[in-house]
Amino acid sequence: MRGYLVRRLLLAVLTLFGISLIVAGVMRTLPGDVVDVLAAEAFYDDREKERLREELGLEAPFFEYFGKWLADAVQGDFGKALRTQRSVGSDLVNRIDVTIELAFLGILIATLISVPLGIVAALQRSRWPDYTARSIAVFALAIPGFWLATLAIVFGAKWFRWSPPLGYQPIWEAPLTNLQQMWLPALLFGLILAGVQTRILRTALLDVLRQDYMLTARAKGLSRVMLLRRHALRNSLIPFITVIGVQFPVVLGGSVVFELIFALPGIGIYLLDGIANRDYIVVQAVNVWIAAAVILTNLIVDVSYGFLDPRIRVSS
Amino acid sequence: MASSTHASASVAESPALSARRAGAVLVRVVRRYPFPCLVTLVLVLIGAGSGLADFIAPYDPNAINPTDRLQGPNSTYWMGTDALGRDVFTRVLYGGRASLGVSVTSVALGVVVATAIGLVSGALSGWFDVLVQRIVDMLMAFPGLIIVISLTAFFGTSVSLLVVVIAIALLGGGIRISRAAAIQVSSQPYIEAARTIGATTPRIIVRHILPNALPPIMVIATAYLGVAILIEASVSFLGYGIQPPAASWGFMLGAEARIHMIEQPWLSVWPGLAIFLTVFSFNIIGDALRDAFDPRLRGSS
Amino acid sequence: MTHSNYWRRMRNRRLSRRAVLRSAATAGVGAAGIALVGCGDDDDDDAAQTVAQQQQQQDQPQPAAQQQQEEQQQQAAAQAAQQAEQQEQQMQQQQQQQAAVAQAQQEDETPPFGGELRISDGADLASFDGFLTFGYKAFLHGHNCYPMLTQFSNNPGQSSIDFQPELWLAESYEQPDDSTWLFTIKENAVWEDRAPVNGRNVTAEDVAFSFAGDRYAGYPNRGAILPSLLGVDATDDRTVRFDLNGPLAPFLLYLGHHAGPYVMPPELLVDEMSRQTMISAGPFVIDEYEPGSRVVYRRNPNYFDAPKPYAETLVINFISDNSAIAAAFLSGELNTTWFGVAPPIVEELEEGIPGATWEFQPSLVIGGVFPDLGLEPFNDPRVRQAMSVAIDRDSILTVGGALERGQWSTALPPLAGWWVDPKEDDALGEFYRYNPDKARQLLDAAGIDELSGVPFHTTTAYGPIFAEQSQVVQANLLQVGISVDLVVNEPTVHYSTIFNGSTTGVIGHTLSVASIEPDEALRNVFIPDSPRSPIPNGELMGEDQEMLDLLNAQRTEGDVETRKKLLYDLQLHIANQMYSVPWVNPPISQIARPELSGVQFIQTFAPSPSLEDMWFNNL
Repeated sequence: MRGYLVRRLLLAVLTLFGISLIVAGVMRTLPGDVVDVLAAEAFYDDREKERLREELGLEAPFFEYFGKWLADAVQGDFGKALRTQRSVGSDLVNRIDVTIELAFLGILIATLISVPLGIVAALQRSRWPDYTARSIAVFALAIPGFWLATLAIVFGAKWFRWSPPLGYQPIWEAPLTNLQQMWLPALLFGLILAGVQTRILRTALLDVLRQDYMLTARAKGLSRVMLLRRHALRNSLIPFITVIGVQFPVVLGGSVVFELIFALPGIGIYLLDGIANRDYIVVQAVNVWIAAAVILTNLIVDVSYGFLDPRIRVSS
Repeated sequence: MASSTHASASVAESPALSARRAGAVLVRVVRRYPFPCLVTLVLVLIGAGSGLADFIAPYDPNAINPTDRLQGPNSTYWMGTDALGRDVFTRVLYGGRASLGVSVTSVALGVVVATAIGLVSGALSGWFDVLVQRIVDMLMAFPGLIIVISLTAFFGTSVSLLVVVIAIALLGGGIRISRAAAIQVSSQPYIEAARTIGATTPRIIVRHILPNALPPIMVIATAYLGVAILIEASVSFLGYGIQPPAASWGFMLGAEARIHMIEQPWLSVWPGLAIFLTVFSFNIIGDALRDAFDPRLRGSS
Repeated sequence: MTHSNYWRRMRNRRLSRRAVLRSAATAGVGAAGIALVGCGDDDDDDAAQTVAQQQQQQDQPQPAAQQQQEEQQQQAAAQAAQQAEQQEQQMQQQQQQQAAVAQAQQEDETPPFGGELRISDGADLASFDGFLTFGYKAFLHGHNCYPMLTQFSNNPGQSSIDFQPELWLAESYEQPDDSTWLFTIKENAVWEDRAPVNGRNVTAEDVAFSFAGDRYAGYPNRGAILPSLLGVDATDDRTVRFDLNGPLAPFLLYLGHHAGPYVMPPELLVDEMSRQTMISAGPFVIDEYEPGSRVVYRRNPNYFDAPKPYAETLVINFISDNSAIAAAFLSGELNTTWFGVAPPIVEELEEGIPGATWEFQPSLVIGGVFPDLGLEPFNDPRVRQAMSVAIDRDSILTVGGALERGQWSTALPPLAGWWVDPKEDDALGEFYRYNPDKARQLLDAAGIDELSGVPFHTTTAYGPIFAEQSQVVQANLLQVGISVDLVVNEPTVHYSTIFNGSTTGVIGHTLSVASIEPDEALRNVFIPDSPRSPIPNGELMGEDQEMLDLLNAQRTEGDVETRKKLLYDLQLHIANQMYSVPWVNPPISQIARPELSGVQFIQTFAPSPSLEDMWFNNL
């Protein structure tokens, strides 16, 4: 087990390194740079731009620039944003809670929706409850999140004269305001995530229900409810947890749309602004953080298999 | 295997007989899977409408007419007009051509490349497999949307590049699934048998692993068709998608309809409906395919 | 709602304002008040003209010029001195007017104190220091904390785009000679009591520092004043002396330019603290800055212009999505909103909120289609003229939902008094009226049958509607046989390519900077080596000596009527050469919820000195 963990962690470091290199490379080749952005309204002459590029270290050759960034990043210093000169590390810390809360609430709501739907669909396979549940799931899959969010915010204001309070408040400072701000985006996000989750849960349950031990249990005369509680649900937890692992990057990417429309200062917007402003430092840091979060989640998911399924623990 | 014997048998029969047989098969399939068949019909209609837009569409998709702007559905403009006074029905048809085109080609590209890499990597194992796995890890560690935005910002926005970029975003998942299928098939006794009688690795991959790995790949491909359409829409929403005046569902919904949401809500209904019906259909068909391919599911209901 | 209905309401609103002023007049405040009422009765344009007559233009002389020019300058100097006197008188008048208005307000509607003023801006600011980052967003915030010697006058009844200077941080000024200005700053101006400034007085040194060499030189947007500036010195604690190299009639106006120069305490420069925060002497102090989310300001109790500001709290939220802004306004999360809300949406919003007030102002940006002057066949003026008459400007306005209130630009944006409306002037109108047949004839004359594959760059940087309007231009050009390929650039690419005219071989569609003065507007675009011109290969305009002479002449011309004539000639000359194909100026709209009163913003590229004047009427 420990050897396995060490190997996985080493691979994670390797992956992170590759990602940093690729992101840094891609960003450097994008047309325009942060100085163009800063100069946009001021009409710098070329001499002035040159001076600013020098000051910001953009003139350095790529590998020198990347090496310096990497050396600092390894020590936990992600540098200063080129555009604002604020510490990227503290910006990220300030913003990550928004995205994490949105992702967490989204997945929570998705789970509340998908578990009953998935169970009904699996137990009533190929009957109308199954078709209804699957239609709801596919319905959720087929709606673009930005559209749903725009509809909600525009018609919420038009019909009910309500829109979420402006000015994001962290949950530990103003829990009530925070929930007023978050419930709508989280609900919509959850609806959309529920589509995938329902489908995976249904498939997983169907797999389990077909297993021999289920037949045996049924033959023993266990009631349907007991069957479901004792065996089926527990055993279908593994693919379900996998799905949360797989969904995580999707969730982080998808939250951009909700952050944008609901004016929530999360890392999705931070990244989007970073790309638009050609703020290399911001984009690299956010990508590395997201990648690290995804890799870590996958690792936790893999390790948790061991606790849920004794067979996996023994074999690894 | 089974399907190939079917095909060769039907070739031998007389055309009339095979037509009757095909009809009978169709009836049986429709009876057995009514819902997926209905959905397929919807998809065929959408596809035909987009494909034949040149003949069906009542107006020129790019002809502007500012005085008629932002109308709701009426007898002149069945689905109303957009902010430039263009006919929305016409643009939904032409938009389907772009959206379906981007989606089908990007998925085809992505799945073919992913399958090739995944199968070889699964069959070969060794250093190549390790390398591929690392690349997949990196691809999977990025949210797909972010890959697409970064790359379109880099390459600029043209339809062919959008196709490539969406294909890249789909690559990670595709490789993973085809690789898993290849590994599963490789451990079967008949592959061992083929190896012992001296079949080369390329031959084993093409003749044995590929046909057996195809079903899960087809299932994922169908699901990806829907995903690709949604990616196209989201990318348009963020301002990096297909360029005007060309119509695409994603652009119509993400850029054009959204800014006029308060003035003319109808504008977002039609492309929204088109996207929804298409993605919905692809998913239902994907489910039906999986059920049909999965031998364990076949008998149990 | 219908448009006639709209205008009626607009008039109603004016009436009530006039009633306020009339009560001031009957209270016997004096002739100034009555004169103002007279102005308020007229249309905007007339009122603007009256003011424009008083506000005369004088540019600084060029060093080492020819004898002729020098003579001209001397003449101009005399006129400038006259103007300065006029301006001074006018300012005194204005101060009387202000007193009148203030009294009227006390009688009619006394501004109550308190309330939270919530507005939005599209994005977070790069830094609070406009000198370091040059972003206009810094000015929207800067104006809340950093004063300037003068500001744009914002008195009720006056058109807010007249661009009249009034004293702000300065208490008075004198002009010992044409090129020397002495300003006395207000005695009660103090900085916020916070480290490292700790509540000391605002000194003349602070003002001088804000103009000091490197800091000021690095900021080219204020190039209007810099070439005339020899030095700035503090003669005592409260007196600052400006030495110019000659007379500069709009000096007072340029001192209040929306892009600064704001007066900030030098202590803030330590460790680049000025980027992260502001120490205020202005109407508001920063209470809280939440990056990416909002800035919360509190009323500054020690503001030198007390009792302003009227609102207790000012919140500037960062919202980029237009739907979200509209929703926040409908639900009351925002009290007022202006940027990027198209007129039809404004009407829709207004219907949803009875009693909301709103105002339209012409946008003063310079926009248009800018072909590469060196690109075959666009190097032929006939082709550019053909493009101009091929474009149906009213269609563009219709697509923006602004047909009734939009204007057509000439070489100038619709700056009241100077700009000539091409719809009403036949000589000028000929170049801009939609006439595809004439376009065809011009193209035939230039020997052009059909053109295809020309890259036509536009952008979403000014909102999605801009790119929609570009498609109208594209369709119009196609009708006369010019087929262009639309390229929609993301903002960053746009700013570094089309916006500054650095990309050749293309036709660019862009908006340039907003200008408050015809001289500023013309110099931005048509001076051959202007870094702000979006015209690719603009140095080719250097061969047009006639235009350059006219540009110079209008800068040194002191007499308003003569200058107007020169500017008309310039507009006609540039229309004939069609260096850029100007397009339209859809109005900018500001809409306010019923609880908000005294709303009047000034349409520059940053909403200017109005925030301290707003108050809530139903507290």
